Amino acid sequence: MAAWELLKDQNFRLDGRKPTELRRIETRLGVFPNADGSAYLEQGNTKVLATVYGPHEVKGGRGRSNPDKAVINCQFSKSAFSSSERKTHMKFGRNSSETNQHLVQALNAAVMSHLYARCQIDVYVEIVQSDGSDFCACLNASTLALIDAGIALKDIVTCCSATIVDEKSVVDVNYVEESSGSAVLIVGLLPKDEQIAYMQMKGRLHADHLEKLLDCAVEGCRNINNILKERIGEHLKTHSSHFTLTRPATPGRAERSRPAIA
Amino acid sequence: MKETPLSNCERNFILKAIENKERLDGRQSYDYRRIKLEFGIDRGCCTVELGETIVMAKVSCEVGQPKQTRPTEGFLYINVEFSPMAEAHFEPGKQTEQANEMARVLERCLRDSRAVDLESLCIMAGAKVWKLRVDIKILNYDGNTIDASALCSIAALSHFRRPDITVSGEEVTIHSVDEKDPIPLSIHHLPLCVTIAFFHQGTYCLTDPISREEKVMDGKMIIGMNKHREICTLQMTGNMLLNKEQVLRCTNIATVKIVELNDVLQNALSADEEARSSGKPYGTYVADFRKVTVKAAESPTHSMSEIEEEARSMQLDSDRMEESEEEVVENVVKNSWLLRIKESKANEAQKVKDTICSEIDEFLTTQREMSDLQQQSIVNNSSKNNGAKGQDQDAKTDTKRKRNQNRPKKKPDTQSTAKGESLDSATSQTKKSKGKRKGK
Repeated sequence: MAAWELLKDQNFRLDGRKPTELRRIETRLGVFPNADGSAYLEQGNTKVLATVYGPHEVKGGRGRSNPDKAVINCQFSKSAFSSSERKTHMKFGRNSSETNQHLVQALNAAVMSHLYARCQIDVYVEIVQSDGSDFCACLNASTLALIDAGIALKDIVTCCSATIVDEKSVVDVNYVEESSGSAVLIVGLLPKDEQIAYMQMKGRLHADHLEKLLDCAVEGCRNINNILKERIGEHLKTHSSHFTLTRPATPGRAERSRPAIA
Repeated sequence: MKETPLSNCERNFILKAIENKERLDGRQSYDYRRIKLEFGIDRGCCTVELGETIVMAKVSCEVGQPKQTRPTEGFLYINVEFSPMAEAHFEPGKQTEQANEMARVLERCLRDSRAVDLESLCIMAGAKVWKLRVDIKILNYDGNTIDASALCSIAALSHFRRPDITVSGEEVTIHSVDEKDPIPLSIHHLPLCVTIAFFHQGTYCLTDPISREEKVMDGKMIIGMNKHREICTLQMTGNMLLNKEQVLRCTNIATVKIVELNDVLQNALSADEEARSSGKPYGTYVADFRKVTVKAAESPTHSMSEIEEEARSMQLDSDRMEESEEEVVENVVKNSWLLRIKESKANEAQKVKDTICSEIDEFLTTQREMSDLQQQSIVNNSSKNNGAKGQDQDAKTDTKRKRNQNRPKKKPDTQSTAKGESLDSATSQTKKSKGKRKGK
């Protein structure tokens, strides 16, 4: 495979970004009318759809329900046309079941699940187009969808990846950088307290470099958090008719659409 | 059958004990249990006992077709099975989340960190490669299966020998063990995993948790690392929140523990090799490391700060060594990596310089010879002149050939491995090039 020059001499990356620059983030909330909450997120060329159903009664047997808190169920899938090579991704394969688990782990840290005892919250995520940092985009999109569904969160959990190119840490990794073989660190962060809710690294990295890479990823998470907050604010301004001061906050949109009883 | 939950009473007891820096089996917070490695009669079979946890790994290989996108790479597939004999609640033949996650972590640790050289598994580019498969079976479950199976699988992979092959044209012959000696895999470094469990929202942490401690813990951090302090994988699982300092503290603990585990692994491998070469216990050899753990238990408390100091001193030692070579750089702690690359580049430059010098020398001598011959030819007759030219041409082609021979040496792989310990890297590289040539 031809080796790409990932960082040019002027410190520009292949797609023209600076090392600490994020890709363009586009968001839309409430894209599906049937779901309780939904979001669409673009991080550069990585495009993700997320929908949230619930909180509702636990499906599939009573045994799964938890008397103390909500059960979060994530279903990740990747469309056949999402990457350059057309292939059907196994829905119940190893990789997607691992991703599901990790999404649940990160969302569990953010959702105030003790408010939804004996309930289930379903999060469905679909990658429409993939260009690196897939997991990050999925987690960011599902957070937005949870917010759209009106589910109580401790904080907006944001996720960002980082890698090392020519001794420099580089944030928000795209596909080419991801497949170059150097170590990629993914961090899911609760930005308010700077607490790490999810962390994964693959590839090989000397332990001395970890701090630098971690700082870079955390900084990326904070920046994404700021952008998302801004977008959520904009969305609320334009759709503020849904949110009147008199009505108490209801968990799902299904209930919200019902005529309010005075 | 469902897993039996811990009673609240027991849960509180364990947590209370951990708060007092005590553990159920009398270990210190960062001690490992007794480790025992046992190799099977077959090559590539290994059993690891980590306290009560028993894990078995078996490596097997077959010839298959490579991926179209990576025509010269072999495969390494890791399969984990929690057998029902390990604990009653494991169901047979079911891919549980736990097994799934373990297999993925191990794959990242062994394959994605390029510990096993997959390119050396190529038989014929685009047509035939070796497919390696590591089957891990949990025989008895008492917590920390990841560390045990990482140790087990890398031991089994280093112990494994694949059958030798000869390629003639399109035909590949696989030789049996009697015909030709089987070949070891080329393994660049030995990554091992250390699991650190967290309790009380990350205030207390332990290495090598037993199953009852695992039931109580908030979450765990799995760190895959080799003895060069290179992190090969990092995974945080469970419902807990950590901050940056805690993560870095984990890597410091892992650094110390990896050195211990690495010694265990290498001792076991050499002990097995010895036993096999002496010929008397052909087959199983038990490498018992009870002494190691006993010593650790006798030594006074392995407190957090002590381990961190050990890690720091290791760090400083490695830095000091490089400082003596090049004292100009001030902040060696951060630039140790850079230095290593620089050093290798300097060596490279020296090599290139040497070859150029020798080439110039050769050229000068041939020129001198040529001029001598020309003078002779002027003195004598013109018929000899042609012969001298012929000789000169021969000399030139000779130097060219030498240059070509030198070329691959000029660019050693600076990025891929820093001073990799590579068990058989030298032999494997020649094998690799052979394989490619055959492929073409």
